[in-house]
Amino acid sequence: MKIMPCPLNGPRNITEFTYGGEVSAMPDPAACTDAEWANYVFNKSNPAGFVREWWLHNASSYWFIAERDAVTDIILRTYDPSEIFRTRVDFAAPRTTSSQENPA
Amino acid sequence: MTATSPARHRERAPLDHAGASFLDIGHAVLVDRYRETESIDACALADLTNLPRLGLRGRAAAERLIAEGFRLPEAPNRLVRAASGEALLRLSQSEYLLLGSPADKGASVRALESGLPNAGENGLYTLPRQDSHAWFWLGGPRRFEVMAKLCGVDLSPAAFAGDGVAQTSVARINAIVANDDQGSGAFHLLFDRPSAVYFWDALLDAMQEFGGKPVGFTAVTKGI
Repeated sequence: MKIMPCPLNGPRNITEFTYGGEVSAMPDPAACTDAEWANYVFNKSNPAGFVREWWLHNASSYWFIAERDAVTDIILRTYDPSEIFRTRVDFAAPRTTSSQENPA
Repeated sequence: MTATSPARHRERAPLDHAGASFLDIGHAVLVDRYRETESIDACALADLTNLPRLGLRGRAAAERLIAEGFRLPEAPNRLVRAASGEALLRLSQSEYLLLGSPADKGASVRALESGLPNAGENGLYTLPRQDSHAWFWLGGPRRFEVMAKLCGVDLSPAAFAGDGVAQTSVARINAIVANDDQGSGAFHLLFDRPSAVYFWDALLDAMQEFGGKPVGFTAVTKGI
């Protein structure tokens, strides 16, 4: 069986993991265009070679990042997402004025 | 006097344990014994699902547990047993699982849970684990051989720490396996509650070749 080294739980059978898509930089949702956001949500680069991906260890619900070679299917490195994502991102809903709040 | 039965309380375990005698622990019942005399010779399985437990997560989780008098495991996937009998598991950098003590039948963990916020106030998230997880106890000297049949991680004493915790797949379901080597030693198995009936049968089947049997709470407390 293929073994994935989990940064939290150590080496485990690949059946304990779920693939979570490629890691890509998120554009600012408040400032970007619809086309930029759609590109971020729907389009994947899918290169032949080095890839950086989200993976989930099912038994501990732990998300981490794995770097793989997509051609040879060799896992190069796995690490905690805090190496890349250092600050919390909050999605504040834009303030809307409804007709009830603002009777004209 | 009427005999204690699971039907006396609203909280029930997934397994009915028909034919057993029960012990009332206030909010629910535990199996007291299945047979007249029970001993843990080779391996034994007990259902502790109704014993209180609690999860804590967030920046302030460690601080709060220290304030409650607990010593924390130094690294993720380790366990520390408190003097009062609770087992404290560290599941990640900032997530903890506290298993109620058999000595006070989980009363202090239950009291702690009722005093905690439940909506992430000040970086402390309470994770209710009573209804999400079931809790089995696997004791006896041949428990390592039983687990070797069901689990891909090497849990033998030579390879696995006496205070180790493995979050892994056991008998094809996700489970938390906590090695509690104090006293006679045992594995605590915590897993998705709806899988309890399947997992109970799978464990008993694996234990059969070693002569393993289910035991009640009285036999468990003798072994601690």
